[in-house]
Amino acid sequence: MSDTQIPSTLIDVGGSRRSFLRRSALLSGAAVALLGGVPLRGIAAHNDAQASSDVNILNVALGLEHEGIAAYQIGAGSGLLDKPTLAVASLFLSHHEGHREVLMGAIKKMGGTPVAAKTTDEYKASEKLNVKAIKTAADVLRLAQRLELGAANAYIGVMPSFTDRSLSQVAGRLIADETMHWTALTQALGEALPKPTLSFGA
Amino acid sequence: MAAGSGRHRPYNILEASMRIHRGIGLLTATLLLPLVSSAAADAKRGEKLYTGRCGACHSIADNGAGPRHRGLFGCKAGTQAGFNYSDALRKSGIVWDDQTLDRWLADPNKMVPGNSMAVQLASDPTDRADLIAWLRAATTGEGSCQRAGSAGQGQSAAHR
Repeated sequence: MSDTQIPSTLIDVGGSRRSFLRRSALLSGAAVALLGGVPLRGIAAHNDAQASSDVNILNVALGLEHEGIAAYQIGAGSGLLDKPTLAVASLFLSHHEGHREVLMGAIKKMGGTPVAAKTTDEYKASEKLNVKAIKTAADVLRLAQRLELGAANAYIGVMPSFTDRSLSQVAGRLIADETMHWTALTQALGEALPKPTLSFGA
Repeated sequence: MAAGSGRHRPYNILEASMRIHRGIGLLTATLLLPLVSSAAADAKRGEKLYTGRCGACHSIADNGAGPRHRGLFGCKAGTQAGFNYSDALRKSGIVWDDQTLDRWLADPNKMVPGNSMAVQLASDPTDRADLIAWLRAATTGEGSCQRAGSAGQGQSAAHR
């Protein structure tokens, strides 16, 4: 899979699954810290309808994170990725698991119920992920690239709708992660970065 | 004719003719505008925009965070089977066509306050025209929504 390998100079990660799991556990702490650092100060001042609107948006975002996690897990388990690429995919997976915790924490804090993930079989059967069409490592990366772009744009699109501005800050940090992933995946696929300025969102 | 002047203004054939021509011109422009817009729209670019901006929540075949789009044109808004819509959209009375989609994509919250699609990703008219051109081509086929003029097939009891 040399044509789709993510250069180690671009993202320096250790390779093993065990270290990925350790990092994942650390990220859980980081996720809590992220939420702790952004204490949703405005929530108390908001009425139920505004809080409900914010919870609905966060739950849509959580659904996308669940889907992203499933896609990375499916990709990582496909046997198509070489070791360095698998390490980067595992790192990105752990970021999305961290996002999931941030979003679930925020939803609970606001009195909402976090949306549950679908089963792996349901994700595999979805037309959107189109898992059955994945034949090569490049296909795995293209799926991840597509989901990262969609997630970045979705977060950008909902930012003006948050009634609690501290949630916009959380969204901004999530967007930065998604964009970092998209950029690495795009370079790994040998594709050019966008020429126009302001190429994300609308 | 000046109201209350007590005198009839002479009929000016030239002025009347010009008015008629201006009227025809305006009518023609109004009628042709959608054709010009759709002819100029780039469905291929629209597909890329759909994938990048709508694809996180929508697909043609499956309900996800947003409803499926199969059979979109002619659907009553908020009636795609198996998707949990907001009351606001379900009660909006909107039927999806080029014009309603253009307004929706420009600002869903402005068109239907309180709906669940709290996202603005097509503020540019060209983007919207391209997206709509793509949707016209890609969403053909049997949908599972309530069609305009019908009385409720495809309506799921699960809809809010």
